[in-house]
Amino acid sequence: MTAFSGITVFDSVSEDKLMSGTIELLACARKLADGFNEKVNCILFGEGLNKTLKEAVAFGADNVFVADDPLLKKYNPDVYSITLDRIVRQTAPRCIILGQTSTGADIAPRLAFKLGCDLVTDCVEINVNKETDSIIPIHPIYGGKIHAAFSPLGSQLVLTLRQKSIEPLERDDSRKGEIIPVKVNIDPALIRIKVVKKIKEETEGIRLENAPVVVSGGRGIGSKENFKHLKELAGILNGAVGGSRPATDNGWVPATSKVGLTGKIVAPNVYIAIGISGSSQHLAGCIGSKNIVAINNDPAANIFRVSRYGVVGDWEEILPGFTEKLRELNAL
Amino acid sequence: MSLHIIVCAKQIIDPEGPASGYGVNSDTGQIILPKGVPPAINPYDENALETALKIKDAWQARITVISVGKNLSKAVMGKALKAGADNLVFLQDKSFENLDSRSTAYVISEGIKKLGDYDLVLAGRQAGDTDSAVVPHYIAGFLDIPCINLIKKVELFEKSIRVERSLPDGYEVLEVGMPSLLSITGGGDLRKADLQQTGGAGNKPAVIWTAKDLEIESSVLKKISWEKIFVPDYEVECNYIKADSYKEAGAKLAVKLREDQIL
Ligand SMILES: Cc1cc2nc3c(=O)[nH]c(=O)nc-3n(C[C@H](O)[C@H](O)[C@H](O)COP(=O)(O)OP(=O)(O)OC[C@H]3O[C@@H](n4cnc5c(N)ncnc54)[C@H](O)[C@@H]3O)c2cc1C
Repeated sequence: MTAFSGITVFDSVSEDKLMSGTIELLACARKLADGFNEKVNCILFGEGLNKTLKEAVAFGADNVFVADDPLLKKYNPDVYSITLDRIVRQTAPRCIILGQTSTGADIAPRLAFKLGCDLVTDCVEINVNKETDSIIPIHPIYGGKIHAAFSPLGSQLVLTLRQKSIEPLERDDSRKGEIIPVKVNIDPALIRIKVVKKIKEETEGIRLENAPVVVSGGRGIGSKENFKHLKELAGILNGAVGGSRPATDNGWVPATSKVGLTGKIVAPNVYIAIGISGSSQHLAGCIGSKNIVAINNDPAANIFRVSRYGVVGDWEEILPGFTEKLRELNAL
Repeated sequence: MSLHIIVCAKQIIDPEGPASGYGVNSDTGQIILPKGVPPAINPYDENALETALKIKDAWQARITVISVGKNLSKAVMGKALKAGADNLVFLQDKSFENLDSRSTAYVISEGIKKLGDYDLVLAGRQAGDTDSAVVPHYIAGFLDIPCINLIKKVELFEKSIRVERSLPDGYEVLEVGMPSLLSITGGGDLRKADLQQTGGAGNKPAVIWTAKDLEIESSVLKKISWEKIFVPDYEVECNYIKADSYKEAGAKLAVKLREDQIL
């Protein structure tokens, strides 16, 4: 028997609203905890948290540990990891799950290092093996060309879960749970990193992560100028514009529009990939889309292997007919 | 003031290679890597080196590139010297093969300690083979220095560093002292060979330190172990839309997507 028990979820909260990622983490933790017949503890950091706490229970938590403090309003790696480490030690869970987000992926290794336990990041699936009383996380390697199931791991684990890899649970407001406030108490000498300011660079229109349609362009688009055709199409479809790494690295679209392993994870109803070859790293960010539509002049491009619809040819010649027809159909 | 910047770099199979050729040996359960895809410096580590070189453009600085592995290639890693790094250190030993994140970071941190004084340690945000993004944090942990990840820009002042850290909706500006570890996600492509360096430092041999040189017992090192690996299968049947002209093909695609109630 291990001394560790229960699954702990950690996330931060802004504006007293649970993020969709937190709800996914709770669903994952619930699945694992039920497998072991153990509890789900949810640790939330933020300021002015109130209705979020009940929400966390409604989405699967048994206990909610809440650190509500102005110090936690904005992410500071030192403040967050020191505080989290303290709470985790009190609850001694067998597994701590964070989101594979800019915050989660930064705290997870700090926490695992402090705890001296095993860590598997960017998991796309996490399972329970009842026979061996263990957790088996699946982490893509080689950009996603191979998936690896890790085991055996130590008796305590830190994991990060890729966004959109699990369906959230139905909200159930009749669920009961305990809310446990925790104090934040930090020795200022331990804070070595100073957060000066945050600059928002969000593009206008619908958010890429939530858009039902994403029109995405790659190196084949060729210029910033050319992206206006993709924006036009996205406008008609009430969608968002995304890009592969070459498109964002070249500044054709903002860095915040990058889709993929090191960018955003999207899972729209329709993902239209134009001039994108379909590298494993790019697909990591869009393979959850219900329908991928590809326009590419290379019939052998990998993107066609994962697309339900495809047109082989030069996008500059194909797109005008497509956009025009959609506008026409919309007007009917 | 002369700075000493250490850049951690990993030699990996070129991650931009095609997906075909990757597989699993059903007898051994081990990974089959595609043949003919050459090794390369991990692309994000090249960004880290370029970041170091930009600092060296503006400040008096010396750059040491450090790498851990079993069979490191001077032909591959020597690209760092050609681009302008001053020294190349291979932490190379039979027992350094296939190490997990913690052991990798431990060996690198021991190598860094052996190098002596340093002001900055830079690393790429993640390696394109294991894709874990953990080693930089662990190195900083072993060295007990601050660590900031996802950095796209570094600005140096006399005593402190100001960085821009990428966020999903923009970026944030942070300040930290020296020495620190910065894990890099941008900063530009690695510059082409520096002609002066190509003739001089570019030909320098790599310094090789073994486990014995670093006084590391193989018993403290842990290897990566996978219970099972598999090639994910996302393939679907593609409905190719064809027409007499591209314009018509575009229109036909629109009609088809509407008919199938997709758009
Ligand atoms: C660790 C790591 C992380 C990474 N993370 C990401 C990530 O998050 N997101 C990401 O996108 N990449 C990522 N990459 C990069 C990735 O490996 C590929 O290099 C990248 O996805 C390729 O982008 P692309 O498809 O736009 O370009 P290319 O692979 O160059 O493909 C361009 C395509 O456009 C087609 N084309 C060209 N002209 C036309 C035309 N006129 N009409 C129609 N088609 C045309 C070509 O046939 C080709 O298929 C990562 C790499 C590494 C090593």
